[in-house]
Amino acid sequence: MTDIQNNNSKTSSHKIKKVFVQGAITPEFIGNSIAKHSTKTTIGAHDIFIGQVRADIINGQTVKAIEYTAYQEMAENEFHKIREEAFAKYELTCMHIYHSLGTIKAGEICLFVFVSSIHRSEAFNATREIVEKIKANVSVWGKEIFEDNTYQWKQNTE
Amino acid sequence: MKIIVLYFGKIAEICGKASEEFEGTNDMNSLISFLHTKYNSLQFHKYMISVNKKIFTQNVAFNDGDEIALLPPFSGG
Repeated sequence: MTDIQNNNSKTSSHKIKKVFVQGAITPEFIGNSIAKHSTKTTIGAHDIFIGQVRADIINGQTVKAIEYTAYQEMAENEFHKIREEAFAKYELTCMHIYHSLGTIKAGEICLFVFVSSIHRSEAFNATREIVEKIKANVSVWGKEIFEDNTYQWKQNTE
Repeated sequence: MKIIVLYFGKIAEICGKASEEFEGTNDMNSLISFLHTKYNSLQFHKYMISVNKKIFTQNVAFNDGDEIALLPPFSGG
């Protein structure tokens, strides 16, 4: 059999990973993720971004929660693309992205990006870029729910 | 030729549903015209269009079974 059988011209070095989590991401989950990497002893640095739902005050109303929905398959494709681009651009040992779906209360965690590298500069640089791409390019929407149960659609800023 | 159209976020609220099927709209421009007539306030809102999960910014012809989506500005993270 020849290479013609493999008509997938785009070589992806990593499998599509599960990103979405129902409900808030817990601090325990984050701690466990860090613990799981202690066996990867080529790692010298981890950089972590944690997105927490903020009790924003908009027109005198306080946000009590954000409800996240997504065009899931399209979002997963984009998360995969973001991963692949980061691995291609930076020398990274490992990378994990987790994003919540459903209603996440103010003070709870809705986004966890975890990047590991041999030396710190790669992790620092990659993490920021990944977070900015997630906020700009992934088909996820947040509905900001106020204390009086009215709501508005979240708008991401530059 | 049948297509399925998915609505998200604010756009889903304007259209009053998460999805619907259409027959007889053959390309993006005719779908947009049709939807702007059907849902009056839709034209005043910002959205992008994807066809089979790829965003298109110019007119494209549809194929039978295509999955179209109207995507308001993303606000994840």
